[in-house]
Amino acid sequence: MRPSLSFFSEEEIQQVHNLALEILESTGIRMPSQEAQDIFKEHGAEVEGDIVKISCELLDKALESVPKRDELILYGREEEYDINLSEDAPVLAGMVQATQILDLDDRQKRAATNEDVAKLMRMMNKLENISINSPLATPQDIPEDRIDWYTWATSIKNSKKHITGPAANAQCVKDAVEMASIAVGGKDKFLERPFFSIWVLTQPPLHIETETLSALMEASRFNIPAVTSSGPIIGVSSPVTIAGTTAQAHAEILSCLVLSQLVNPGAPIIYTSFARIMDMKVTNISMASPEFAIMKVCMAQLGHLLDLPTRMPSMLRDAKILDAQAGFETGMCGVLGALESDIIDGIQLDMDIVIDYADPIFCNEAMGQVRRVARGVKVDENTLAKDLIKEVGHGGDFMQTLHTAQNFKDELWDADLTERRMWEYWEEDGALDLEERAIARAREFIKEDNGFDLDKDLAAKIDEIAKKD
Amino acid sequence: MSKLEKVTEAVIAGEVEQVADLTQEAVDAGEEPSKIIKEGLIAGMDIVGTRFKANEMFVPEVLIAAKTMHAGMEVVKPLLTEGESSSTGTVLIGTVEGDLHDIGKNLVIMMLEGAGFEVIDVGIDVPAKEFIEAIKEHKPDILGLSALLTTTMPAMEEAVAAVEEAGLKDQVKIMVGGAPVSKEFAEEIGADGYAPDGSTAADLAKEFIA
Repeated sequence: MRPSLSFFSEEEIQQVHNLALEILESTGIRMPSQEAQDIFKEHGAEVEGDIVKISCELLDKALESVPKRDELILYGREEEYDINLSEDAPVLAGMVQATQILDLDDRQKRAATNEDVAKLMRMMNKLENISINSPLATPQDIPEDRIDWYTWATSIKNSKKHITGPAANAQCVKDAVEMASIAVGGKDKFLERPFFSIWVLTQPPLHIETETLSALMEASRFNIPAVTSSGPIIGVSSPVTIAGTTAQAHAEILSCLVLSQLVNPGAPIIYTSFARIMDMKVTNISMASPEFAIMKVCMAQLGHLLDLPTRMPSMLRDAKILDAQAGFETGMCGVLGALESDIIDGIQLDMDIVIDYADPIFCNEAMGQVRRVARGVKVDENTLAKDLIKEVGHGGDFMQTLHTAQNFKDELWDADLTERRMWEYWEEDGALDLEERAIARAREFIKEDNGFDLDKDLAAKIDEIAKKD
Repeated sequence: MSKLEKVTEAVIAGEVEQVADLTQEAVDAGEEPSKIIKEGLIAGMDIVGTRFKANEMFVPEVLIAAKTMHAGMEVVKPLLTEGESSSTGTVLIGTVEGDLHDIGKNLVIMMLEGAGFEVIDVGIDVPAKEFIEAIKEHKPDILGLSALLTTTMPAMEEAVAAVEEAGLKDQVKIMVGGAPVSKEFAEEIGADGYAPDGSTAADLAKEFIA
């Protein structure tokens, strides 16, 4: 069976869920968007000022039409990269909106450029354990008012896999659809296989911005999956206690889910949460604390309760560089997150501010191990090996048996970047630590990189859309 | 594909079931038995060895390939004329006194056999005296000594010294290995070579024979 992890008992999760229902019904969510309010009113919801109150009936109806986890396919721009969660989970996705990068040559921190984002996406196309591509950083060398548009143009030109990116508002979603349609030869083709999803981030506590709502509604109209997150900071924008925080976040996410289903029943929602902590000494926001990891599991449990596809940012790091801290944060959060959620996000350092060319290579390796853990143990006649145990007998040797040769690849994860050779071989190859080995691989990749493979004319058309106001 | 190439391919693919028939076909086609061994069976294992070093093949696959080679050998061996040998050389191997570990030693044996060596395994917890008797009896080209425990490293040194005292040092090359053993230690105790793992041990043995 696939192992799972829970921090809430069945009774506890009901308590949390019920509190969220109560919040939706009695406290309501502030949605300053007139359009959203009108839609809610039209469907019988109570709207007081900017506060929308959502009844259980409205929620239940929405939960009926929203695609269940096993029904959702995340399409790649190329079909071979399609993700079917019921078979492929857990999978790793890239996060978005870092600003700094560790330069591949001099290893100094500098502003990330559009070219960096493009190169990293092409690198991630090739890494087998990174299933969902993303613009890891917001390029710092493009016009500020067109940031998301340029980011979409770069993403669509360079990624062959499914992309999740940020969308400022409805217009941005529309334009991204247009760019993506150019890449695949027509809007009908894109709508048949929408190969990107967008981030929808609430503004805790209990508030969702007008532009965010407009992007959510637009994505819903196109059946573009909305990766919907509430990311309260405990003790700051939600109670300092995990139980209360998860209830509040759950309510915010569900309010978005209901809106999407009112706009277009059947529009896909991916249940996500960035619920996090503030370090009470340095006042920075941690993306890899033990509580962060716990809350990812709690929120994934809430998503599972409703049979929704879940996505949790469980491979982010507070560490500045790929050091021991990064290693442990990757392992702890990665394993915990992947045991309970379908998709995990990561591949950023320094609390989501810094990215590194070496990091996708490392995360790819780490995710290989995490996936092996999450796959669990298979028990059947072949794996029990009853006859073999008898046959080999006392003091015998299994190494030369056909059973070993035929099954080891399914049973054992194949280490690649991980060093397991004898000391002398490692020394002979320069005694490189993990970061150095990952950098060497990244440099090799960049040397062999030939740029994006989309038709030049199509790419120019996509750039046109990014540039126009 | 020629008959010999088919034999080679069968070894690489680990086709234990088919290799005997393919080898027999080569024999029936009039190929020299020694040529079938060298250019068919051993040639396959050479490619397997190369692929293993390039991380393209894994230990269990190498072992099945070795098993396949031996299945082919069984067909041609009886056809060899006197003086012709099917083996690359003979290795006598054991874990030294006080040490009961044999997984590492067994891996080395499989790799050596895969490289075409005939291996005499004298087992675990072998006193120096027994190594000497076995050398006299089997006249191996190479003596392999294994130890896993740091506490049994002195026993390894004793075994090497015993070979010297018995005046057999010129007859056998001694190679040592095991987790606590290092190149420096091997030199210190007067062994001829050290290998950190099974496939290197097979390479080292080939060098000794060359």
